[in-house]
Amino acid sequence: MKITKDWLSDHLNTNKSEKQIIEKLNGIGLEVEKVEQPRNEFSDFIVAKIVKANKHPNADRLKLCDVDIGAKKKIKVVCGALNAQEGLLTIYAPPGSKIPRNGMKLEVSKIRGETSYGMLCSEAELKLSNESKGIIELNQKYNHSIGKPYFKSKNNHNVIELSITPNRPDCLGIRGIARDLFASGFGNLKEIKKTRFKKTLKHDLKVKIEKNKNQACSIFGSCLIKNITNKESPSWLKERILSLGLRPISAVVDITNYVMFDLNRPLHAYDLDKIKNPIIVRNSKKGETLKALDNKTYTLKENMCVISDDEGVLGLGGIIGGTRSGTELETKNILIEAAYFDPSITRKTSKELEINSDAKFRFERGIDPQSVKEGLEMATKLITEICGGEVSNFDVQQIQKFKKKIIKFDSGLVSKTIGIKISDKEIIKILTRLGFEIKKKSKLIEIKIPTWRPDILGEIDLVEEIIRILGFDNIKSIDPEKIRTKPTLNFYQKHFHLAQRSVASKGYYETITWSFTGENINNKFKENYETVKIFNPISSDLGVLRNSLYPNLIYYLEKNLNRGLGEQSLFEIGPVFTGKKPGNQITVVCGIKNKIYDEKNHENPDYQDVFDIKKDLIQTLVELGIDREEMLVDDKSPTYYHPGISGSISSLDGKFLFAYFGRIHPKIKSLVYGFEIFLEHLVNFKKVNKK
Amino acid sequence: MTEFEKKIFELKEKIENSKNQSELTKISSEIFSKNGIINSEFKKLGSLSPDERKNFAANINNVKKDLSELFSKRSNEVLDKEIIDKINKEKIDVTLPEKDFKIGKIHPVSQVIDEISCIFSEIGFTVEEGPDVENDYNNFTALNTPENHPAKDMHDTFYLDKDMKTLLRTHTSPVQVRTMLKGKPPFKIIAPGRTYRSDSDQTHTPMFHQLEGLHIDKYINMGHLKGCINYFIKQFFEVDKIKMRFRPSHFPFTEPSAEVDIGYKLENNKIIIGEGDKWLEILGCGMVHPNVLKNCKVDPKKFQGFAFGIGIDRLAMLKYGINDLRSFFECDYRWLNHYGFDPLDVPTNYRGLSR
Repeated sequence: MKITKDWLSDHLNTNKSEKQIIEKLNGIGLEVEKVEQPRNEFSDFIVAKIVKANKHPNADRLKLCDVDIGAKKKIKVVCGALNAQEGLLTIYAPPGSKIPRNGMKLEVSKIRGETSYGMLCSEAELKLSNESKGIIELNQKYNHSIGKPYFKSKNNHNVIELSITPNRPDCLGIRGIARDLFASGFGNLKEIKKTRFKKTLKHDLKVKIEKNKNQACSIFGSCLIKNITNKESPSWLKERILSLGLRPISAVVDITNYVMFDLNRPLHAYDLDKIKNPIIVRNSKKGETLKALDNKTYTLKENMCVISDDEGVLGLGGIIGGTRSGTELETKNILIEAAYFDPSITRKTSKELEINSDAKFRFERGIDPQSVKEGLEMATKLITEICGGEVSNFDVQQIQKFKKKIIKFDSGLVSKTIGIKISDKEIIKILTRLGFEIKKKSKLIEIKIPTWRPDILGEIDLVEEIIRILGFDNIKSIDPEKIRTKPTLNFYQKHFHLAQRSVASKGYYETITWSFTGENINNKFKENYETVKIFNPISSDLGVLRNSLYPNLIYYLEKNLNRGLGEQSLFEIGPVFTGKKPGNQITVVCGIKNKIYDEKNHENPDYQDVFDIKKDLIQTLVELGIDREEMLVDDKSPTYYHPGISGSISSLDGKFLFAYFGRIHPKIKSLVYGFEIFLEHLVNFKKVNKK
Repeated sequence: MTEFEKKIFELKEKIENSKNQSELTKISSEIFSKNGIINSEFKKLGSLSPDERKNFAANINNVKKDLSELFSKRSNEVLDKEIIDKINKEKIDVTLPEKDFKIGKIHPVSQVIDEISCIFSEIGFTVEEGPDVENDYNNFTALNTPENHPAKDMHDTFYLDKDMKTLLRTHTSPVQVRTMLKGKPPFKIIAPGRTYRSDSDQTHTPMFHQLEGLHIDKYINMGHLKGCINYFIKQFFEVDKIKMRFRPSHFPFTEPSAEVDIGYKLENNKIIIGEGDKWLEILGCGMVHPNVLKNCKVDPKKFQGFAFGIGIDRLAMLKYGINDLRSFFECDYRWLNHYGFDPLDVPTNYRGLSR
């Protein structure tokens, strides 16, 4: 959500500075993510410096310039101006920008075989004067502004970008933010002026909401405006639309967007002449299609909420409109829709169709159902002011009533939760300013929840409102007591901790690798374990949960070899998955070592190295509390080990398998030795035999 | 001079001139062996009268003693010389590099988990764990995050099945649920572990580490929460003064919820914690939502408390100046060597967390 102080002052009378406002917004839970210069029609044009001006290889009169635009890399621009020379400070227009003189939109293009990224501008092209000979020559003081927009914004209000948490749909409108600031003592909330205008037309388009099962639409308000002159928006409106990061389109579209961001009241404008009587809001039939305003065609499933007419689907309720009834500059007669769509049904539909839109973003969080008329009024007022036209009465179809929730609030919960005492007077003041209606004051305060706050469901939510507005700084910090009644680690955890440091002390470097791995390599180590596929993996080579620690360790050992590193000892302690259910996992400590031999070494390497790894393993087991005499070593091992050079270590009765060790099967990887300790088995053995 | 005396004189000279062990062995057998000169002289005793015998024997014994002393003296001299000669030949250049001592390394994430556990141990928290694979109920529903709610968008979940019932936990919070369901209040636990979100870019990895904290008792309020976090941050960064702010936020499972920022400044591209006017978000926390307590069979009328979630990797990056999150999981041997910790460097609160 983006706001400017200027826009905020439409709703809030305050003498606080922008800096104070930003601090306060953070303090009341409306996190400020960024503060930046607003965009305007001219903010694309950047101060740039020609670093080098070479002759174009294929054209005598053109130059190929290396241009510094304040970015890391210099960019190439083809330029025909005679004065384009090394060291010149000038103005650069990037691809995507629109040249004011002729409205031409720039693209990356090839000019006589050389790619040009944007262009260097003359004064005439930027409508600064009629001078079209050569490109603009800026004086040296612009040397410090390379990469910055040449045109300073007329208004100095920064764009403040807020990250609004999903529980606060009301703050997706400027009004909601103003209300929160007002509640926290920043100025006064202005009343929204009611404007009366003559509704000279009769609303003669029939609208009906069908009572389908899971009908997402429960209110559909509309009005007709006829004989308008749709046009480019006036500059104040354009500037506001630009400050939101949107591009101005036409007055009608810009106004619907404006109302959405001002009041958090999404609207939709239809070209009335393109609607084939009547409008029916219903659930979709399987296979119906919609060519939407994002220029994609969607095939609908059953029971998605659609706005339709005789010819079919006009739009997806609360998500996106269709191109068939879209407004254009030539549009004369329009219908404005202000409706209420159910959050979770809307969300489900948009997820299934993978559509994101500003409207959907708001409806899935919960729009104020009582803002229908307010939205229509504001839009109608602005449209008639800018585009003229005659307005009809408002038609509001409603199949469900929205009553204000009432919460009986025990104000004692506030001090119980936050640890400081706050008077009922203060509590009531805060809640009232936030728009809550205090119904009755006795032991319990009866509170009516405004319809724009779908997040307030119980007493604890009211506690949050109070402390949020008061500020968390008011909470008194209570130092923790330094007492310990239970051991920090349990028996198993102590062994985890010890195993980790025990293996590391034997020359192994601890790694942490993904819990997932590639299916192919995993298959070589999975033995009898179930393959657990990830339904939506980050990539196919990380598509299954690991059934062993070896695949990733071997992969990274190999990577280190490619990095030019030689002999290494790596280990990991972590989960191995034995199945798909929660808890189907064991903890394994896995160490690996590689050996690199020169030709002179004639000794049998296996003899030496398998005992190397065995030494590390046995010493680790001893340190973990298994005596050497309690270990049974034999030559049984899984298939991923070299069958002749590997073994296992278990308890003497064979009931507890402590570890495997040996050389990895040469078909999988040559000259790698490793061991795996099964921590739970070891700990269980100790619990049974030694505790 | 008798023949014997002459011989003795010769042998003495021989001993004194001997050069090595083997010469000495030869001389020794000439003198002391069964057929050596001493024994041969003793054999003459039989042909002597008893009076003569006494003097004769005493004389031989004196000679024998004399020779032995001389012999062992020379023998020692020869031995010393041989050792010295050998040592002189053995001289090596000790300034040459020593052999590698191969001690391994502990990953910084593991080290930081131990540091954090150490801090919370001192104020009475115990360590709990939960599985990496979770069901939708424990990960979301029990934590007051309903189906089809935009709050779910904050987590890009890895699912293990099409109907999205089994998943890789997106946070360590389901350990709260498991802990409360299996026990009785009060609860005072931390739970470090792996967490997963299907996100991969400069600052996100599909797997990362979180530490959950939960303290539920009869009168635990936000003042305790603030004090606990305050204490933790100061201990962890090992600084006395630290700028910290609690900012209201939203998590479905806590109410009120807060995010905690710490103050920092940048000096030569390095983050200096605790000073300056920039803010860095490091953890989320709040009072456990009554709905969560109810879902976990804890009576919210009788019990209340706080929970928090800390990004372990992020803390490790801040404390140890590591710039790239992804490097934690790339297993580069040089990186592990540089950022890893000596396994003997176990964080303790009497020695200090880091050395």
